Amino acid sequence: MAIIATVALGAGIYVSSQLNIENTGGRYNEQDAINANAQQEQFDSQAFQSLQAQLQNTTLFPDSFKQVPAFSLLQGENEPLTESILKDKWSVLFFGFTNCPDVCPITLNEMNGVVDQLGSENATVPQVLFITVDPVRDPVEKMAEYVAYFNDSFIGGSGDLNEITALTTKLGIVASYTANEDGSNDYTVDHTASMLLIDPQLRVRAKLNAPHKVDTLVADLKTIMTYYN
Amino acid sequence: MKPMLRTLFALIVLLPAIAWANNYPLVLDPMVTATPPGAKVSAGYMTLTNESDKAITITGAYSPDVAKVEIHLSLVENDVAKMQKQDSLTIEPNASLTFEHGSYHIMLMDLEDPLKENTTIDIVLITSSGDMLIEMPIKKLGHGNHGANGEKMSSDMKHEDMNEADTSMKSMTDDKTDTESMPKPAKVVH
Repeated sequence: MAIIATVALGAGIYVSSQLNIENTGGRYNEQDAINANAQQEQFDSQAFQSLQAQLQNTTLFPDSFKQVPAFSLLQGENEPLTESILKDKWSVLFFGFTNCPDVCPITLNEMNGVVDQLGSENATVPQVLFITVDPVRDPVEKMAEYVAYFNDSFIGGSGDLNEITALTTKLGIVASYTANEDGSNDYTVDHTASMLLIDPQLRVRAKLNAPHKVDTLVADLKTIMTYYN
Repeated sequence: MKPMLRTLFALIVLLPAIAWANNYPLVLDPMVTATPPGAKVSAGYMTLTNESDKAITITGAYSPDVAKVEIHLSLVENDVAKMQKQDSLTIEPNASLTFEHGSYHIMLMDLEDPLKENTTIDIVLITSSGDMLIEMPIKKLGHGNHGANGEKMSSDMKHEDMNEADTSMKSMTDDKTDTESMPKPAKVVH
């Protein structure tokens, strides 16, 4: 009996050390799902469930589900935009493109309402980042102008397509490119409609689901940020 | 828009659009989203009502002011936002078709200049009854305006975007207290 227990303990330590290596290495792959499961067990599932139950259109992630990886993009007038911008504040991360006529402008418009309302209530206001998944047509200067139209404080991100793809892949954001049928040398981009809520330690805390509405977003963001602050 | 057309609009604008309805759909609440700097696309929204006893089919759209106009459906499927070009849409007799956020829209592409709010843009719908030209007001997005899931005209409707655009309509109705729920007839030429 004692031998079995020792072996089991040893195996447990081995597995957990492997998981730690995955975590500190900042690499994300299939291990993610296993990681998330392991962490979820440790998580106080009752508190988690009760917090989730208070949310209207948001999906919570367990504590150590995923962290935003290092990235190197551009913002403003060709200034660097890296993961360090996310430190010590809450952020809402949205991926889209400026040739998007419906979902993107509407989402940014709703986020403007969210930021206004949270500000007027003296609540914590997350910073809003809109990163293009179509950097060929959306150079950084264009992104800066585009987001400022919705709110001066919004941050527009662009950069190298490979760098953006690496980031979206690691975050589980979908971007797929479809040529228009009319042979016009034009294309559209299907992309994830939800936004990610990132906490001040760069942890991906929640997925804000579409359709995005000011009232729902304000309520859910306040609930989550108040709970974790 | 050509000066002659403008004169024509001036002549008919004070008459209810329904007088022209016949077999054309009635156009309510038309709007095109004003564009942020750099944006090459925009979307038009409205409600079309078929008051006749024959189905009306819409097979496309064009504009004298925009290089490329199409009818699109935007949808979110498994959390992915997609757009699909529509070749034809049918409005059944005594039914309505709404172009709104998260659903159908008139897709304006390859814009050369930004679309400025409080101006208008001419869009021609190609229908089974013939072409119909709609003068669409350009408006900034407001919260709840033509919202997804039919939630247009929500409680957020206090924003300024309703005010100026409605001025011309208010002269057409005495009921100023009920402008929010009042459908607004569009300026249409067949």
